[in-house]
Amino acid sequence: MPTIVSVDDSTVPGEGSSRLLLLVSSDNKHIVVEEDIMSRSRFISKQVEGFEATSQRHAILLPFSSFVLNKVIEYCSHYRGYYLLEDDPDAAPPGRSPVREWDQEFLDVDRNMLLRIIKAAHYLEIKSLVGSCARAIADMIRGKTTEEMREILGVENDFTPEEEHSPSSKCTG
Amino acid sequence: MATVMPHAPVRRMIAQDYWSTAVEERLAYLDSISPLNIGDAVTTARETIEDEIKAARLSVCAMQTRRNALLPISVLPSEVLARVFEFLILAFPTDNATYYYIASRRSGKLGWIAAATHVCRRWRQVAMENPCLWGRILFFIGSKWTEEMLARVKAAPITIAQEFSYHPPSSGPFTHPVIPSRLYQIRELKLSGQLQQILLELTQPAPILERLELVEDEKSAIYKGPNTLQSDFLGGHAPRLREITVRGVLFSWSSFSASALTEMILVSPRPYRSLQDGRMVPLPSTPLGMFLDFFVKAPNLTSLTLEGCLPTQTVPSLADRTVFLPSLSFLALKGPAADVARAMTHIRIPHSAKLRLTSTSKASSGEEYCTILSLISEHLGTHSTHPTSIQTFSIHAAPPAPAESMQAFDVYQHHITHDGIPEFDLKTPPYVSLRFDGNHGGNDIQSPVLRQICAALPFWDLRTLELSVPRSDWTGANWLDVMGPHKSVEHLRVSGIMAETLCSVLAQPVKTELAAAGKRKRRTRESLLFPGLQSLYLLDVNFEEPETLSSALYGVLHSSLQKRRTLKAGPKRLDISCCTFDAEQLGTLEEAVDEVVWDGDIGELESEEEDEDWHSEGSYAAAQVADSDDSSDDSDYW
Repeated sequence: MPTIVSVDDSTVPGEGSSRLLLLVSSDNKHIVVEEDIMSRSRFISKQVEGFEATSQRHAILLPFSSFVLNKVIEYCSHYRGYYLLEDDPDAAPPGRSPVREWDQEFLDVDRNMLLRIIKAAHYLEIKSLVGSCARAIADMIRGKTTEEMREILGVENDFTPEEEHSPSSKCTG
Repeated sequence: MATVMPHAPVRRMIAQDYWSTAVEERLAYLDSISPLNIGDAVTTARETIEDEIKAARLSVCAMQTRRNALLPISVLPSEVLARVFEFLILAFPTDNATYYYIASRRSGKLGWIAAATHVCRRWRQVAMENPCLWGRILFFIGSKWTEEMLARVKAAPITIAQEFSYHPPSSGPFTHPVIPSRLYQIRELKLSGQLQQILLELTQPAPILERLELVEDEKSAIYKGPNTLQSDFLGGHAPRLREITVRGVLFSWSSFSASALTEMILVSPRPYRSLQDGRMVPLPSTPLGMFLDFFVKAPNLTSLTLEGCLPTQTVPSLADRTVFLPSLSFLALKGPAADVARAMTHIRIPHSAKLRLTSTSKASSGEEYCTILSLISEHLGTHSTHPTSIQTFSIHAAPPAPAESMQAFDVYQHHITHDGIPEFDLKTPPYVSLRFDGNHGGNDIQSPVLRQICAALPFWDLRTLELSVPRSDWTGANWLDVMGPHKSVEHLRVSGIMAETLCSVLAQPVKTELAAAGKRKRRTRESLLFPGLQSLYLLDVNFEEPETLSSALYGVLHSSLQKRRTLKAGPKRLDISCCTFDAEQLGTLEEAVDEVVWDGDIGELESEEEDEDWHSEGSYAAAQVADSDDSSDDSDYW
């Protein structure tokens, strides 16, 4: 859970329809963003509901860097006002996430950055972004052999010989 | 308390000490054992060492697991990793064994299962613990694996795509019991091939079924007649069914509750030949009342395709009954023109919906054109207070072919990217496309028919016109008479012989314009055919055809374009594609148009050139020499 600190009203002019939120990244950068933009995040929405219940507005501390946070804000800004089925909590989960061209360009980043974005998206509960990131990772390893997947991701084979030859064997890690 | 990590040299020493000191000291007593020892001492020593090796290997694996845990990829929570696997699964088509094996040729028979679950322990654990990942049940990789998947999927929704072919091994005895017994859990069901047996078994309710696709192999139904969905199909209970496709199976209009349906494709089986007397047996017709009752309960339909299953009888008592499908964005009806018209009188759809009407009537008559054209016209609201003009219009007529006879009429109110229609870059909605096959009108699109079409449809703001007719009596005079009034045309694409007649009248004044102006032989921009023409696309035109015109087509086209240019009547761009065209004439045409785009095809001239080359003695000799001596200097021969 993030730490919540009190913020005075001058820092966050939070009245009216275009209320602002103060997000604080793990590298202590303060980023002001319109609440409307971040409404795609279930996590942020829940935080805002909490503010309304207590009539106090706070900064929201997030456990990832400002660089990653800015990428997520860029994503949310792009889809501001758009309905994405994956982000609708009331809708049945789609069988297949749609391919969005803009997302593919947006996620054309190095692997570590991609993993940071997906972790942040998962933390912020932005399902559409999680889906697009998961697709991007799947694209990296699709059609590859097990050895090639290991090589791409730098993963070691940690199976015992018995485990390795039995994909159905119980594995307790 | 903070963890203090020792420095690298200390770490190395500790590790070395562990293996050299702890292990070696522990096994030091084995030094005294010799292979020559009598009794069990050697065996025991070997077993001890084996145990140590196994333990060491397990330790290594555990350490590798720890190392993996520190990799960036390990930051992914299990549910996100499971999402990655879901996308991997989609790469393996499950409804066709051949495609599946092509997709899995590198990862092996087990596809994603083998590729992902062998990467590391964590990946395997995530895969094993997520029932949803096992929901796409495969039958063709062996019953052992099918059972394994069914066990792992637990209560999660499943998808089954199975082809029942003539060869038992592809489906196997295991398949039949699984599908009926798991109907309560199936979310998507796609069955194809010989469905007679399996359809009889699907009598249990399907409470979570969302997509159903049944495609009967029509070859198997030629003599025995088509299969029918029985009234107890799925126990009559599939409340979440959103998409249904039934091809080659007789649909039972009372089998389903249609309340959740959003997409529906019904393609009726063909009439079959009786084994007793060899006569064609007609299929039972769809009762109009039942047909309408079904769609009353389907208000959420967005896409509807009905082929060969339209009501064939008019019912006087239902004459005024209509069903409005408010969400429909695409409607395709195929059948005899009268049936299509009957259905259209009872189904009302939003004005913005895309419409495809296909007539399969055997006889080619003007009555049919009129029937369908009036339906299109009505859909466009021609007689309403705010009528819409067609902006893009195309006619494609194919030469005779042994395929099924049909006429297709498409009306698109919105942009489309691709819908099986030959691409034309300049489609602006509303877009109307008429397609005639060779057996049914394609060879008969003569001037009266075109005249009839032009009179019936709203063309006052026509911008793009596309005509592709293989044989025609269409003359230059027809162009002027019939197309002359359509002043707003900006883009014109013409194929074949019609293009040749067009070239001859491009710079001639339209008679009605001259009459209106009360002048004779006065050529102005406004008096020309298509005065606002911006682009002209000529396709499949034989510029070398001597019989067509008194002079070569190049000259006629060049002259017409130059005259139009003088009057600033365009076109600015000329496209020449798939034509028999002499490259030397390109320069001449470029004098008359701002831009000429030629695809480089010289058509029949190519074969003529080849023939000439081959038969000319010098070239033949050169070819022989070039074949016999590759090392020779090319310049000697060419």
